[in-house]
Amino acid sequence: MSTKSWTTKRDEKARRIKSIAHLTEGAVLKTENIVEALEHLIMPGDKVVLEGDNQKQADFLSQALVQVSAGKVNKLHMIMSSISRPEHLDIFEKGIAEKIDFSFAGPQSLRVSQMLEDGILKIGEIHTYLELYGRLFVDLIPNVALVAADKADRFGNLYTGPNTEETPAIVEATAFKDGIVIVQVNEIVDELPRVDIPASWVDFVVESDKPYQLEALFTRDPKHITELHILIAMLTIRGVYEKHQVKSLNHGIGFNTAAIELLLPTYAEKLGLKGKIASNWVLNPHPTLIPAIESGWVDTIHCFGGEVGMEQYVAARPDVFFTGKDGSLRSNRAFAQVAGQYAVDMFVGSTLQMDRNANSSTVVSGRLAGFGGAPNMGHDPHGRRHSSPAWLDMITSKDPLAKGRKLVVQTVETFQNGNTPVFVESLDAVEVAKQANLAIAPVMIYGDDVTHVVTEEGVAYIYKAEGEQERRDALSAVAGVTTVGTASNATTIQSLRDKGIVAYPQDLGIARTEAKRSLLAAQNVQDIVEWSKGLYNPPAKFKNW
Amino acid sequence: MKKTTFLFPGQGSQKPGMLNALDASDPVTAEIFAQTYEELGQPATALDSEENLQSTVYVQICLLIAGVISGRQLLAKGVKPDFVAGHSVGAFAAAVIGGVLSFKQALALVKTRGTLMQNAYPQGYGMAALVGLSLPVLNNEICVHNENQSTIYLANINTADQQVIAGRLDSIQRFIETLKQNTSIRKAKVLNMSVPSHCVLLKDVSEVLKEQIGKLILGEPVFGYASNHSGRLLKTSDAIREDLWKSVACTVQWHDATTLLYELGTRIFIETNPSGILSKMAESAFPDADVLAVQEVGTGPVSWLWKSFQAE
Repeated sequence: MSTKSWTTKRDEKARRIKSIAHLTEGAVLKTENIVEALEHLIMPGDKVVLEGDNQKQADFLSQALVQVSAGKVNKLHMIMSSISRPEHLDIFEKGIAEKIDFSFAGPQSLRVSQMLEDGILKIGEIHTYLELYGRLFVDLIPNVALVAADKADRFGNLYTGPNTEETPAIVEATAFKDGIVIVQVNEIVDELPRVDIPASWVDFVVESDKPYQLEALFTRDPKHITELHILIAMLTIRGVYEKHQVKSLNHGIGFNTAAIELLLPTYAEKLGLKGKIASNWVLNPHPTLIPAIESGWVDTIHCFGGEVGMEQYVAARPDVFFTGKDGSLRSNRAFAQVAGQYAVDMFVGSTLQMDRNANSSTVVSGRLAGFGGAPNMGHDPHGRRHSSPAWLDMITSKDPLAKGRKLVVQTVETFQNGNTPVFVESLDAVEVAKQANLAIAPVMIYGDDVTHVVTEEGVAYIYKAEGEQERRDALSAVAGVTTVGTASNATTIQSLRDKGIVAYPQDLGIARTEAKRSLLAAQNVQDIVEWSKGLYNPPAKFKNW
Repeated sequence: MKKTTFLFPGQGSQKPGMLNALDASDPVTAEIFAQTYEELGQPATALDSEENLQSTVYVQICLLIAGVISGRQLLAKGVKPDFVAGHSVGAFAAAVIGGVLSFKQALALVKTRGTLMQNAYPQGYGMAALVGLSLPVLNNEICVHNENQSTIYLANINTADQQVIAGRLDSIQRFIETLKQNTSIRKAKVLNMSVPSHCVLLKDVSEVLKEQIGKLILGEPVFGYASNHSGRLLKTSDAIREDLWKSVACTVQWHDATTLLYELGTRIFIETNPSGILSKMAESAFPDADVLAVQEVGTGPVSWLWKSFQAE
């Protein structure tokens, strides 16, 4: 008869927890004991999730991790949403970690590339956020989770508040598979404003020496919005939002989308579109959406994470945002990703580079930035079944089994910074894949999923194009003065416009000269603060008046 | 925890009278001037005339002197860098401030470097600075050009859209014409530099430097040092030794080196005398960082600004 043990993970967890009994009081770990505790709680070869979120960083824990003895803790397999801080990679230089699966590495993209080249780290795979969280439940199940929260009580109940982000997803995968959950908190208190994560999911809480690092990533100063951004925004509102009755949507971050947000109370209002478009949103609390919210455009917003400076404004608008019993925002990246994938009509984002088939990529040679959430938002989920007017409007065939699709809109300025062409013959991603030995080229959004491309030249309704050649022609027609653009000829373009596959500004009743900064509901950060009636509190670097 | 990098400029930043403009009574300056006289047999103030600065030997020596004085003055005022990075010959001042080379060791090396460079290609060659092209576009144009013309080399990658090329002057002129026709290049300027630096044409120079520096005993670095030729952070004297002899014949990976320093946490860049070029690059590449140019602001103000940034 077999004497196989079915509780190996449970037994191992118990062993590790017992080994630091002398450093803890129940769930509370003393700040000064953190390095020693990590050396006992983490074993060589462990899979470790470290936050590494987009905005929130468990920096007390990452700084402790880099201090562990590599003799005791080594060969770790790290799993991280975002490689953001220097010590996220220092642990590889020290031999503490050797492999990493991640989603985004923008702030450390050169170092990741160099360390990969130098053999200092190995990459498992690069993922979208949602697929990374998915793998936490399949084959990247964490042994240890190092996460951050605002507050905890002595039992280990957690308040993560506006910056909840993906912490619940990470903790769930770890806690319910006998992993060990260690949480750094800004303070341990007697009573929490609300419980975001219950104590029975948590093993240890430790008070950090200072509050966890938080980045303001979703604030865009309107003073940097150009007339080009405004023209593209007008084309998108008229040519896409209005035309297809887009009611629910996700905005990627950028000046193109900031311009759209600031044109709703003005340009879109004049078109009589309030209540007809853009009422349900999935996005971070963009300050540039404040004028539209105040003007009654927005019914609801669900957020991936928080945004520094928006806390009070959000708490004062609970009819719009998701808030807890304590009144503060509850964000949740995993659910927002699901919502943004399946439950909205449209994604709109911008790209640095696009090929003839509308495949787009943001990679730069020698930098490995990864994907973040965009590919998840920016694709058509074939499993979707529920319909909406916008989704149905994408049907172009009379096939009785035809279904709609998600609107995936890419906005593009035909010349980046006026110099680097955006439309290219072959994406740099192909070269990058070869250099970095990646299994597939790091394409951000596939051309097959793109329904619309909007440039300052016009809108290409590529979902309507029949066949590859017509799609390429539609793209060429809006690609301006580039090698891709100059390939188009006048007869083809006219035919495309007649068929409604391409629309130039005049076809949409837009004059280029209308695209003026005066159209923006807010000209600068100070205007946004006024719109918010003083509730929005911009971070210092945006307080430029 | 904002980190600080000292940036040391290279050829292109020199100006006539740049050493005469310094206060010779300042103790740091006086010390370096004295050592210069001991090592070269000439007073520092005789080196920086407009006529002398036509020669790369004098340019490089003057830049070394100015960089070391500037760096040491900052240190004396309590400004502590986490990293040092020198552009081309600026790497030698970086190595001195970093504790790897003594000033006199650096002076001897730089004199050799400059002399060998001067003599290697006395005429017909040169360099040009290009603004407005992305690297992939430039590399493609270089490939096409080199099929039928005398080889153009990529000498500096300075920012995302600023590079320097080297090669035969007539080939460079032709290349620039082609770029103006085929691309959206914003600026192309042939530099006042007759030596084609930072490419394989100077391989022999690097071999002599290798031998010369191989004989020296070097100190272990006190600060991280960003490599010109590999764009990596170097932490040992052996690695820095290699960078110092090798990079004269390799592309300067300034864009990678400074980006790496930024990713490692640098949010304060301080460009030593004679400042201007490197700080402009840093300002445009890293809008989030504070950039201080010593020449523009003065060592005193730089040091109290730096201290106030620490308190933020």
